[in-house]
Amino acid sequence: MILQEGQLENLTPLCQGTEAMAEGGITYVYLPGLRINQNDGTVIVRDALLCPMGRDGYTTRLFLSESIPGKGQNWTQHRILNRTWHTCSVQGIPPGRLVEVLAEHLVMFR
Amino acid sequence: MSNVDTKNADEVRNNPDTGKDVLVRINGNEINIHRGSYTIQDLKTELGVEVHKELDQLVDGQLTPLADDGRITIKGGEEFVGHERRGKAS
Repeated sequence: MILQEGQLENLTPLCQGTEAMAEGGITYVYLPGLRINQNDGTVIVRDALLCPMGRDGYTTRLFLSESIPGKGQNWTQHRILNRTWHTCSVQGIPPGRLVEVLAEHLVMFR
Repeated sequence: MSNVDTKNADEVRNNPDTGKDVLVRINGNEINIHRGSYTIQDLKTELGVEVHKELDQLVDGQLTPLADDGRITIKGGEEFVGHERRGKAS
């Protein structure tokens, strides 16, 4: 998958070190130190890996460096790009503009 | 004559313009809107975000949801993300 020009730039305000990384025919978006706002006003920081295309039967997926206790369901671990990542089961977030896809996934962790 | 069209959102945030239109960013795209106070619903309309979508403001590197029944004052340089809320835990 080739990311459209400017899509990574649109993520820069959310994460300074954003970069595209490919493995197994999938282009992931690496988001180090992503700040995830919580409804109680606290902020959780995780490295994140956004999969903006179909994988494992999901239309898009967001992987985190650690799970978030009390958020999401059915957390699983995956080995991607020489690192262990955690993700919960979320269906129904289709591919699209990266910043919008990421924002939809982050709603699940508030 | 306002030169806000030649500035980017970062410059506007650091140097508020005195003109009536200011530059903001929605889903990465820069647009000019009238500075001032908006209901969130009116702001969605101004930003071209469908009213059923959620509107988040990007502040200090994090997305903060804006309540549909809230208000916001636009000064210029603000950044927003409008998105669906379709994800279901499974």
